[in-house]
Amino acid sequence: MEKYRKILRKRIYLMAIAIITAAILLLLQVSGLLSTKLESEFSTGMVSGFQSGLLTALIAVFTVVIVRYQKALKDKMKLQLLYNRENDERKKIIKQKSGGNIVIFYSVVIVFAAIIAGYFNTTVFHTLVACALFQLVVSSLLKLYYLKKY
Amino acid sequence: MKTKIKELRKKEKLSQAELAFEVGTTRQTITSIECEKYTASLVLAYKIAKYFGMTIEEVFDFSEVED
Repeated sequence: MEKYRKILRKRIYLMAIAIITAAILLLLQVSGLLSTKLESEFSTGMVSGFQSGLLTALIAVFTVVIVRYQKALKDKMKLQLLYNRENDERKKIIKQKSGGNIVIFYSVVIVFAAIIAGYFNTTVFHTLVACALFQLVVSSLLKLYYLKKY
Repeated sequence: MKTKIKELRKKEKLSQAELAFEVGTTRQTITSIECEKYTASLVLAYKIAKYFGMTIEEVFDFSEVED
């Protein structure tokens, strides 16, 4: 369990870095220092809205996860429950069958590519976002199916 | 696969969550095994059998597998 504690501490550290980076980017965007200028005002608003929404969501999700990890690190029972949940064989099989980590990884890469593309072209931005959403929806549906099956 | 987990649990007055905690899995997995929706791995089957002080064959019914 000590090894798992170290893993959780490492995750907290990495997520804290991600939160700080996202907060800085968000601040720069809100202050107008990091703004996008596209062909129309609607596109500019949509792309910057998507970017700030994504950054806010990232901060919120990571904060919740950090709080959960901190609680688990203080309580032996919660730590064991968290470990069991993460290493549950049935969940691992479902994750494997529904694409699991690889779909999330690809989606994150595509969304980051979409954010960068958003500074230059809205069509590429929309295509990439739609692609990431499609992947995530298919994976979620498969996950639901296998949750019912097993 | 048919199992005696439910009976053994009731005998020991143990909830699914408690058994799951003891054998290092989740309540949902114990439910699935009891409902015959999911077949436990050898390691998990061993842990469950060991918890009840029995052998794997005593807890899990392999008659269908043998056919």
